[in-house]
Amino acid sequence: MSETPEKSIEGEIRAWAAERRLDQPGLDSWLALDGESAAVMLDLAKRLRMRTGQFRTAFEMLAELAAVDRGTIARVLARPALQRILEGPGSGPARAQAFLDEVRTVRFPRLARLRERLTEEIARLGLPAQIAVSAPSSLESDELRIEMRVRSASELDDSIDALVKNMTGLKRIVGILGGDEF
Amino acid sequence: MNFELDKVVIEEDCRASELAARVIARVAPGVPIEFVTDGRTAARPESGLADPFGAGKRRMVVMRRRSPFLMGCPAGSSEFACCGYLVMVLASNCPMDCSYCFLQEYVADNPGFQVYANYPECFDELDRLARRASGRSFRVGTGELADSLAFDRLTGLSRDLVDYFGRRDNLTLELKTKTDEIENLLGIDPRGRTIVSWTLSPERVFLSSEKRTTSPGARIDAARRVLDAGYKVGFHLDPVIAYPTAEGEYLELLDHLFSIVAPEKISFISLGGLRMTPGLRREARRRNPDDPMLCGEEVMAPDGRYRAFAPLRLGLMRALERRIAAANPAIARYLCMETASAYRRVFGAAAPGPAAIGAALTGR
Repeated sequence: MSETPEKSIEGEIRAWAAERRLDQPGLDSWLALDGESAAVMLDLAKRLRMRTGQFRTAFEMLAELAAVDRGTIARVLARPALQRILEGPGSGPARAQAFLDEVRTVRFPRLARLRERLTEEIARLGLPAQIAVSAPSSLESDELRIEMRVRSASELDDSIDALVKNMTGLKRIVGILGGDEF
Repeated sequence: MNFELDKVVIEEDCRASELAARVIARVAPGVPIEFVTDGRTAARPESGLADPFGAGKRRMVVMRRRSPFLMGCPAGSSEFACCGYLVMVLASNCPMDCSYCFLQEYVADNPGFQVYANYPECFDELDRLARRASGRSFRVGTGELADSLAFDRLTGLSRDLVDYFGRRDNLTLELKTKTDEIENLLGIDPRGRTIVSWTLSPERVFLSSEKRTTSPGARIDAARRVLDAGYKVGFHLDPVIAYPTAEGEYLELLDHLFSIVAPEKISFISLGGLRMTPGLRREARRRNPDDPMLCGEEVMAPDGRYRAFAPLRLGLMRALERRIAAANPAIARYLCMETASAYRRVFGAAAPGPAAIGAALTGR
């Protein structure tokens, strides 16, 4: 007697999970999905040759998006932007990274937009290379980090001058981090 | 509101207590009543259930409290700009079931709905506190590990509390609730020493995340009634959840509140962003897989909790703060579980110390 398609998919999922050492709660969550979503996750993992950590991250964000949409992971994965990456050219690992980046943008849309805006604002300052301005990577705090590297008194003078000249722009960035644009 | 109970368990030592007598007399017919030697065993999670925490909510355990009743607020920390709140633990767990509730993690090992029959001992603790710190004022609440009024129909605790605090000059009672269970309060004179406070959320959050609670509109109506009966009232916008249409909906909620309860009659409004430890988030999502409110743009914050990313959270809270201040700048406001830096961002001034915040909250 031949296996049913569901049994066959479950077997493949178990095999992938064993090979990649996916933990039991992760496997349980996968197997608890509706059949279509479980199958597309398997296809995703294989097609992009995902590492276990990448799979776990993708799974979590896709499940969250499905919860927000009150839909399924299969429906989330049908979005054109994600399909383009899945079916597009490039190596598996490169597409896996691109896929995760895109899912993150979809999952955190306002965060992604604000990060992009901050990147532009920081670039627009045109500060010299010895001054690095950075926001927290996930904007988890409102702290702006300004690092200055100098090797002489004149470099110090130049750097401080550059900061003073850009005070308005820096204050705008501090304001953005404190929620001025929401 | 009538919350259903699967059973009532009473510790043998408490069989003759006033509280046990009230519960036995008032519990719905048909609810089994058991007596056990040690209530702690009945408070533990039942094995073999898919949701022992949820089951615990429907199992009332009348027992003796073995620890002090008074404690510092469990949310308090030196890393936050706190309000100096003291918690009086008269019960543990809650018959309502909010998807974001910290009790899902905090009382996971003791989910039975415990009510402490030896609660009159808390009055001795309060007297000692008041004597030791004469000249200072304290705000003491019962709504941290339980809803203050959810089972008041059965326990009648509010009457004893309001009466006690009404006879103390430097103690203020806060009864915090998401119910409209106020009947017991209406016949007593609080003598200015009791604030009844409601946690408020927009309709969308109520429908999505606050199972078995009273609707926000009914909570506000109840606030109006206790205000008319001589109580002070306060409100907690906590958690503020930063979903896409949150700002408009929280502002509408505030406008509705101010149309029913005159802003000059409100003692305080607190704001607190949704925050979840990893353990709480895991458990909350496991128990509420379909609640989109648990899947917002939260990131791991420096304090080890998931919170909406800082600019989003701070911007939203500042918008709410502006609307409250526009309604009446004299309403005391504070942030719950936020840093001094966040306080400055939202209010534009340095955070006062906990005692000063606490004094401002009880002043009106």
